[in-house]
Amino acid sequence: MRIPLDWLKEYIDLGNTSVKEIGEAFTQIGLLLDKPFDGKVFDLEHRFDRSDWLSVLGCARDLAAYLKVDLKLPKTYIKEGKKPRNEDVVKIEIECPDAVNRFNTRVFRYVKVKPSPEWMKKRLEEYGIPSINNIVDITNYVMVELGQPMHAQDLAKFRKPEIVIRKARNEEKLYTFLGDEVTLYPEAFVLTQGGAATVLGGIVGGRETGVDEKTTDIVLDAGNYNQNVIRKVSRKLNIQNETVLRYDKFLHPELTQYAIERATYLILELAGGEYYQNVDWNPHPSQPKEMALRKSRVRKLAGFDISNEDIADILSRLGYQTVSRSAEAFKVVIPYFRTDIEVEDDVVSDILRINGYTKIPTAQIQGTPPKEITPEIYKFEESLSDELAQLRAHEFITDPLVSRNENLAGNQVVLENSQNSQKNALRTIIAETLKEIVPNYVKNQTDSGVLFEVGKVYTQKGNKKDFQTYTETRVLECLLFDEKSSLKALHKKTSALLSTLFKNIGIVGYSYKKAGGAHEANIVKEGKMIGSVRYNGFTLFTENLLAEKKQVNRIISDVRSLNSVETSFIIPKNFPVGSIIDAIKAVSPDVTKVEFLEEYTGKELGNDKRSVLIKTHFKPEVDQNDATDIIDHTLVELKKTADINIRS
Amino acid sequence: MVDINTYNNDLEQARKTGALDELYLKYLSKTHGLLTQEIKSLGKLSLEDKKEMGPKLNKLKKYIEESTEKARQEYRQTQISDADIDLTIPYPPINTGYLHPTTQIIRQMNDFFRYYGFSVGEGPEIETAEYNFRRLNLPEGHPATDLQDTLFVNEPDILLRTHTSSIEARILENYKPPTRVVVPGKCYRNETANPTNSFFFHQYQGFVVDKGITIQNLKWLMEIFHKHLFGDDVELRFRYKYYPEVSPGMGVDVKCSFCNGEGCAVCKQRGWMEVLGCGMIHYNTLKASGIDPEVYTGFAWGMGLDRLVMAKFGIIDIRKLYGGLAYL
Repeated sequence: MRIPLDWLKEYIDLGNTSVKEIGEAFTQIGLLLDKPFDGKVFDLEHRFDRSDWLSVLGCARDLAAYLKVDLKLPKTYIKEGKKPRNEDVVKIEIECPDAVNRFNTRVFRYVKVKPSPEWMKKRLEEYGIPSINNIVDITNYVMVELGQPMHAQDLAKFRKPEIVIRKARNEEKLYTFLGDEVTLYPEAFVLTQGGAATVLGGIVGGRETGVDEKTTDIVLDAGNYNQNVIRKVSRKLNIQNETVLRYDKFLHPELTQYAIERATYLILELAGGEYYQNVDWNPHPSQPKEMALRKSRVRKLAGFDISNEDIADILSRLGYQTVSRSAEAFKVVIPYFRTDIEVEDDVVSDILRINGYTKIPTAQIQGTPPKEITPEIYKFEESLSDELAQLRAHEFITDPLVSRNENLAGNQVVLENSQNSQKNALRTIIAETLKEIVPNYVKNQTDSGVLFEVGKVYTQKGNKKDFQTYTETRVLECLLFDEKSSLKALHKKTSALLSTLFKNIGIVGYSYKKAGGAHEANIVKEGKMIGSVRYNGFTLFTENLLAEKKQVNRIISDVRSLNSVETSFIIPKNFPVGSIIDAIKAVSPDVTKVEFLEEYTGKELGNDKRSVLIKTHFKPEVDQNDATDIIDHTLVELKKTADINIRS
Repeated sequence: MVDINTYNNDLEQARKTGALDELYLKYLSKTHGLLTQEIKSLGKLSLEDKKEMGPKLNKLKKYIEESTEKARQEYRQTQISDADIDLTIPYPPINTGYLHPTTQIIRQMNDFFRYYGFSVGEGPEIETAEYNFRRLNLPEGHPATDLQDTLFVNEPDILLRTHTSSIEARILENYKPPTRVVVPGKCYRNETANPTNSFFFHQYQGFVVDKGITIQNLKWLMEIFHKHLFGDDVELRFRYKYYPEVSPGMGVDVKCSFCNGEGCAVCKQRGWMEVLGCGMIHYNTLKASGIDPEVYTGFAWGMGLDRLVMAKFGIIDIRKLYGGLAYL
């Protein structure tokens, strides 16, 4: 909200208060000085709650309360207007009462349209609205002063003296006063005369009945509309202006009366003419809202006492009316323009705000801290990151928003209203976003590294309206790159990193199963998939890991000689080593560990064979003969699946 | 029996070549060492011979062990002094692990709050309008929804959470007070991407609910938290600020350290920099979570993490922070 200093002074005697102090005072009460004072205007941040803060008077009222100075209210014309002849009444017909709460009108005849006086032009221009003529300027002036948008239309341009408010027709056209063509749709509502739309209700006036220098008779309206309709329609039609800014907040219907009385005063002062009563369509007049304010509630939230005198003074300055008062409670009428006040705490909030936040003391929280409820998975993922960082890996957080992938249709979580086609869905794998980090390293002359991210992947299957169909899976993704090494060497690094990570976090008894077709192996433990590995990285499901991890004790206090046997298996080239390791483990519970040492391919083995050296470790009680038996037994088992031998 | 002179000759040779490990293994290897073999064959001798040979062999074993070790140390010493090592060569540093800047700041904050008895909370990123808005006192069509442009998955009910407050709503519903929780988390908004705004960002939320919690406790916690973040000399400004989920609401600013409050480009000429928003948890929010607001009170705060991280690590574009970094 822009508040010209000159305009502000109309309502408050600022005396010697410096502009710096005014800016700080506005900031304290909730109107943060957004930009430095430019010598004319305070630019204040508006937080969408206080519709009355979209008016100079509304901001002035709170400032006056905070500075404890009097507020001078603007002059209004409250006398009754002339009674029109029946045929001169502008009839008001509302066909869409769900969109209109009140439609307050007055008619003026014999006005003189001319330029506005300099003071009004200056204020409007400092605020940011160009001056047009005295009548249009008055409607704008009252809108900025009191927060109520208004319209003046030239009666001479009406085909018959009536305003009908109805839903817009599909594809109906309207030309705004700026000459822009707007194509309407039925959620919008329009002010019409003689069947033709003259104003897009609550949003923008049309050019057909606009006031110009030839105008003498006008119909002035101040409406109160369903703000939800205004919000939806203005956003859909992409129209943002001063009128919409106010109408899409909660304005009170009562404000129309105050605004029309103020505008009447200014029209009679600045344009002359005669004012005639006209229809005030207000089928459900609202009642003042009463609320109890307990001192105990003030204490409960503030933790300290504010005297009844101070409370009464603050409430009165803010426009609250005290109906009754005891030592421990106030009964107040909420000012109609404070549509933001919902609960008693909001009144307490007003009191603390105007009393000054700087006066609130500080106090340490008392009481025993509650039981810890941090999820185990959160702590576990932290420890995974720590382990990987110890293993020299670099952690990244990448943007989970990606471009929609048609191949994943039905599984991908797609955003309905993203403005960016590169970010209109959620990722289903992290590798997709993590791999984009690699070029940063390569550019920076680093040709190898280990990157990881602990995050989520997102999927959806079934009815989009059902929240339960959305799944967020927690994943640790690790990616290795080495511009200089072979794919096999990179796989060796990947596998070693994974084994070390598993050893350190306590994952034992897992095996690798070749995934069908894909260049990928699944990591399986007791039938449950805990992740997958590729030559240059791995994906782990952290929740499954957490469920499977065992307490790690890497300290050996009872050092004993362990038996082990090294065996060269000659296997078909495409036979997975993981299956040999699984087979050895499956043969005997006395096997403690099976290690792959190296592989060999050579002419003497033929093109379709390779030799792999496997080291099998046994429990201390297993002697050499038993060990040989176990390996022999494994070979028998393996031979059932493929042509496998042991190299002697 | 192993001849001591032969051994001494071998030792002299090994001193020159440095093959001291090989020498040791020649005589004392567990499987095929010459002396080891002799010691092993003691069992075959008569008791008398054993008595005679045993101590001799042990003495010889001890001699060989000690002399090879001594020679090994001497050889190493000569090696170091004669070595052709150019100690002025600067080899590149070993690559070490690194946590993402945002993780580092989250950890630092979590540590601070854990000390004061806070747990860390979590919740879904794909969220319902119920938890993201309505439980937080933002009914459909409320003008304050404009404060956060929402990315919808299925409008109007399913969306990407626009703030971490949704987790506050979930935890308040599921845990009886007293509660002290912080929530670091990913959030999403339909913003125009630029160096300071992105669709995807991080917030750090916290809340306390108990009997007797007042705005003074909030001010106290914010004061010590800001001192933790910015140092003991930090100057704070507490001011009223509206947030739908709290009443009364509060904004906390720190005096700009670049201009000492005079106004500069960094603080947009304000003299102060906004760090976070907070306030007493709204009556309706507590009520909607099944907590009696006449018995319990609480406060909550929330802050954007990314700008703080960027300032601390000298990163000028949020899009770099989540995709454009590399670490040395």
